[in-house]
Amino acid sequence: MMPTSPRVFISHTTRDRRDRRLAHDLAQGLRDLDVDVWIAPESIPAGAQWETEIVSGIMQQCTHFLVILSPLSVNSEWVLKEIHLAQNRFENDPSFKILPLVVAQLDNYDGQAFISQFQELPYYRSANRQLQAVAVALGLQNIPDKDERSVQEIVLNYVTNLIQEPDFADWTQQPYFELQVNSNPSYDIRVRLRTTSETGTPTPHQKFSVEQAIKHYRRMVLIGEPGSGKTTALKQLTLRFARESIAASPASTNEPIPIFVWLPHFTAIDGRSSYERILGLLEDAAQRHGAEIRLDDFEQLLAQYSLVLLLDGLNELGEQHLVQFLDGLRVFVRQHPNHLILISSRAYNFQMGGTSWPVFELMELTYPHDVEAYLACYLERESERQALLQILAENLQLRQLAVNPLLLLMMIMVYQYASGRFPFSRGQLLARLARGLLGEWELPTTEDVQRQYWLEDKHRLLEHLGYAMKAEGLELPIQRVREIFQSATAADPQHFASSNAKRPPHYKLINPNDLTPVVAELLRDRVLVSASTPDTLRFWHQTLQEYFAAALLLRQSWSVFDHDAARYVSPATRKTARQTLEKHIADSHWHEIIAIMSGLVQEQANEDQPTTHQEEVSRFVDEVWRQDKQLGALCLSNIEGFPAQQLDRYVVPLHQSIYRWGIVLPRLLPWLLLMLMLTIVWLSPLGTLEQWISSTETTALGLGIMALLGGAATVLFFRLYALTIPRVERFINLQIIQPNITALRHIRNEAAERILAQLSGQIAYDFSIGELTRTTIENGLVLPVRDESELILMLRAENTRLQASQALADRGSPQAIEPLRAMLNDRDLAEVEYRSVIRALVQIMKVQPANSFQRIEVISQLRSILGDYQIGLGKRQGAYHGLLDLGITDAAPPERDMWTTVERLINPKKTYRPEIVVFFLIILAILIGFVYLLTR
Amino acid sequence: MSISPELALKVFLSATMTASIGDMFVLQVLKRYSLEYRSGSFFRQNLEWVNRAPFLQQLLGAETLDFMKSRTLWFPFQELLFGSLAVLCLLTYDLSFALLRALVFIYLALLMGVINLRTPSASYAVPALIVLRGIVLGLLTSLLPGTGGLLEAALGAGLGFGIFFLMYAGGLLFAAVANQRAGDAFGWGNITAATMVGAFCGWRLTIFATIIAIELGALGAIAFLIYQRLRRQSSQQFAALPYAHYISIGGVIAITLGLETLQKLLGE
Repeated sequence: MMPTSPRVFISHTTRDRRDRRLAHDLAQGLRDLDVDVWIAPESIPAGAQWETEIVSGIMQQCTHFLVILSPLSVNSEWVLKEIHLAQNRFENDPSFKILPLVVAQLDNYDGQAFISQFQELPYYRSANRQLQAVAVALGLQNIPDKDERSVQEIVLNYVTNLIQEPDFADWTQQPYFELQVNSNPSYDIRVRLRTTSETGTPTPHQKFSVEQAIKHYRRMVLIGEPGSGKTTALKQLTLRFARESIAASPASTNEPIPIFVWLPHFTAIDGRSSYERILGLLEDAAQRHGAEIRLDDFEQLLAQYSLVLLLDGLNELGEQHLVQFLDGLRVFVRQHPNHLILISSRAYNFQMGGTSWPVFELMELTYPHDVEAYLACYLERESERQALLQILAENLQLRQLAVNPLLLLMMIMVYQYASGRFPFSRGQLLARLARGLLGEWELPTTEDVQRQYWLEDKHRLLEHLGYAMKAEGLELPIQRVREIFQSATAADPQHFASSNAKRPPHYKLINPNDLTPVVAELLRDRVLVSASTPDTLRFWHQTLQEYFAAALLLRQSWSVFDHDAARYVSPATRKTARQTLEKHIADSHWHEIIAIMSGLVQEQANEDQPTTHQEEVSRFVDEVWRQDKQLGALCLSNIEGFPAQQLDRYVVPLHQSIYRWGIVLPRLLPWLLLMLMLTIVWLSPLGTLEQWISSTETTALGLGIMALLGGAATVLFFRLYALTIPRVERFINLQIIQPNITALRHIRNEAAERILAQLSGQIAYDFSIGELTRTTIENGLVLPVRDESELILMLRAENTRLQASQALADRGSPQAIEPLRAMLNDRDLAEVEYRSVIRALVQIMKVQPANSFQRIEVISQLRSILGDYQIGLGKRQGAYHGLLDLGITDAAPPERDMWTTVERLINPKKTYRPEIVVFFLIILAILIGFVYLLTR
Repeated sequence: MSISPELALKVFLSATMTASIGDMFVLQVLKRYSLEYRSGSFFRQNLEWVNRAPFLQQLLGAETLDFMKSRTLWFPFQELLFGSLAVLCLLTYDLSFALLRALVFIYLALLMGVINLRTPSASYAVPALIVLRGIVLGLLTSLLPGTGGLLEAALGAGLGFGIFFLMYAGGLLFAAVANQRAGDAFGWGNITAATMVGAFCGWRLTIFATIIAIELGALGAIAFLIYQRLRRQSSQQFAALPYAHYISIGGVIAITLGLETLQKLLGE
């Protein structure tokens, strides 16, 4: 008996979000065409379990069986069972139609022999075309022709799709914690400098939400540390814009239409010009998220609509592609100036050659306010939240990690699932998370499946995958992933062999010839996720990929640091390992990985020999430090509990180098230039000129020429002088001072703080130091934005006092006035700190109204300090400079006490300055030269 | 006396260059010793100087001027003046140690004068840092062959100190009589400045220098009074005026012309 209208059974897996969406789209579309649809398992009566009888009963009533086949669905128990039932039904009733829809490349699966005898439905990425294809296969007529829709319909459809897109819609299920961006329009990120405005006061930070920022600036760059939430923010933004454009009006062309673009896809786009590649990239991105649009329609879309282009992952474009991309973007912006564009990139080594777009930095979470709010989003129970906050409150290093949203999320997971000591460094946190996901923790999953593979085996495979992804791209086709896994098993046969005694017996061995179940388990473990195209895979987060790459690199180069291990490998192997490591240290794209690795060295060392692990760690740091000081310092900041006295070993050379190049050289440079010019003047053969002049008839003419020549030479000298010195300064600043300051900022221990404050004090009133160097050094003390109340707390602790006062001054916060003034009453405060407190006070006062009561009080306090002879000269000088800065000119400069002069004579060490000695040597050389010329 | 134009050119260039860098260094040192200038007006004044001077911007370039302005006092006039004076001194002394000594003095005196004019009006500072070191330098350089000798220098220093100390004492007396604050009448800085002039010039030239300084000072005071009348400002009976730069000018003129020339001029 044949029913009048078709009844379709749709079989799919709920584990693949794309499959699920496709199934539901088709079901909805077919229902609109008056087709009865059963969709498993959702259409199964409520309360009933999946049981063969029920499903079989339903299938008996259907005329068509539509099965969506993807790598995940052919591993799904239910789908396989349903195929089996369909086979039974087909064998009984040959009029039963089987419609296989293959959405990705498949391996062998059960029931393949049966399915493959039917013709596959063509697969379309667009839901509407797919629906048409299915309708045709069902023999339906009168399908509304949606092919010739206007751009307007396409857009409406696209935006509607976007909201339902699981990739974006997921963000709405969790409470989203809105992150702020930090703007300083004059913040020059390329040199990590904060320039001061013309009045001399630093421009205050402005806080925006990302949405406000993009609406206000229209084009901007968003930078952030790894895991600061760039992608999340961009996806959230995509969703919001999509909602707004739907809410506004279906036909509105004013509301911006969002397009989310993952920039590494750019590498796969071909085009005749870089501009065409940009268009191709945008079209591709729109299509990935369900817009059925052709390139000619796309041009129309660009002309009619206002778009928001959210471009994620600029730092992942290789150098060659980056140049092309920026080129194309420039042309794009010129041709379509109306669209809003937001580009995100990592902060480390951020570069965007020559464009002057405003740069925003995604702000860290503030402690404790933001951290508490963030915890509230993820931890339901109040007691758990309090316990985790308690852990954070007790540990500074952990608190420094917790300001990063990703790391905080990891901490929450580690806290929830793991037991034992809490890891304090980024590398160890990642290690714990990775092992937890791979097998140590029992995560609540939708499917109750036991893990079949040993976590160490999976870890090894993923190490190779992470390493390969660094070179080949962050998304790889499943086929390539399998190849990598195969080579990984071949590379370490001993570990993967059945004879490996460490592997618990109930785990399966990895079979290099059938890796599909391993991949499925890794997907279930949530370490890997399927990327935007169905047959590609990527890591759950890029940081995880970097962790696995770091683990492999560490394993390979372990013999370089561990001398015991070195005995068991050949010298040639060790040499290769060292060379590989050096190559990666030299490559800036690997720096993040090396930093994670530094945290792992410790763990590795701990495992093997708990007593001597410090040696390996310091060997590792030395190795990195030798090649790249900045990276070495980054590594130091990633190591838990590195001994402070050893840290000083790294801090001192940094200080010396800054002092020599940043302070001594600028003072000497003019004299060196003078020596050069004098040598040229006195050695130049002016004698011949003189002969020529004396041979001319009129002496006046000759003298005139001489005078002219003199004037020209003087002008030349001044020009040369003014041109040379700033350029030399800029060069030194970029090459030497800045990396060193950044390194000091990474280390951030007490000695580093003190050195930064000291340098900043030394140059405060020294105007032979150029503006650039000055700003760099002063910026070294600028903290990443923190909560004001925490800064005031930091003011009380001895080791954080300096940076806190600097940071408070930077924000000009009036709350800080009282604590700072109280510190001035402390006679035991060191001179560096005292002067830094005065500078902070003055800086805050400059922002206050001129006649405020507080200002008068501060001035009177400074006056009393200036007049108090019990206080050291340096401190009083600080007060004097402070008064001058506040516009008080009638104060008399502090005089040097006779006794301090005597003291300085008795203790000459204090007055010794290398540059003064060199200066006198130069003067002596000039004098000797002069005398020599006189006597000649 | 005739010198070769080549030598003159070389001396001029060397002097200008050394002075421009020396100025930077000295100002740097002075900053460290807390001698402050009114920063706002100071920089603005410098800008005006540059804008007023014809062709200067075009000649030196904006970048150069910006750079040097922030580091020197009267760039480039002070430096060019020093170069020219160096050539005049070369005419007087030829290449000798006396020339070196004269140049050191002129450099210090110019610097002292300029600073004296450019510091806040409340205290026309005569930087002890320069003057005291100047006195020592003057005495030491008199040991060089071809100069007047230590006795001459010591006598000069004594004379300079003596004359101005008398004036200082007179000022004190006058202040006591007129019920004024003592510091306002005649500063200690002026005495030390005169001592430095004496140490470099020797006793005979010091007399000329003092005469020139007093005459110039008187002229300056009269000019100031006339200026006040013209501006119809309420004339103060006891206005504090900078004086050390007159002493510098006197010393510079005296040492540049040299003893022989001055004697000739006066003898005629």
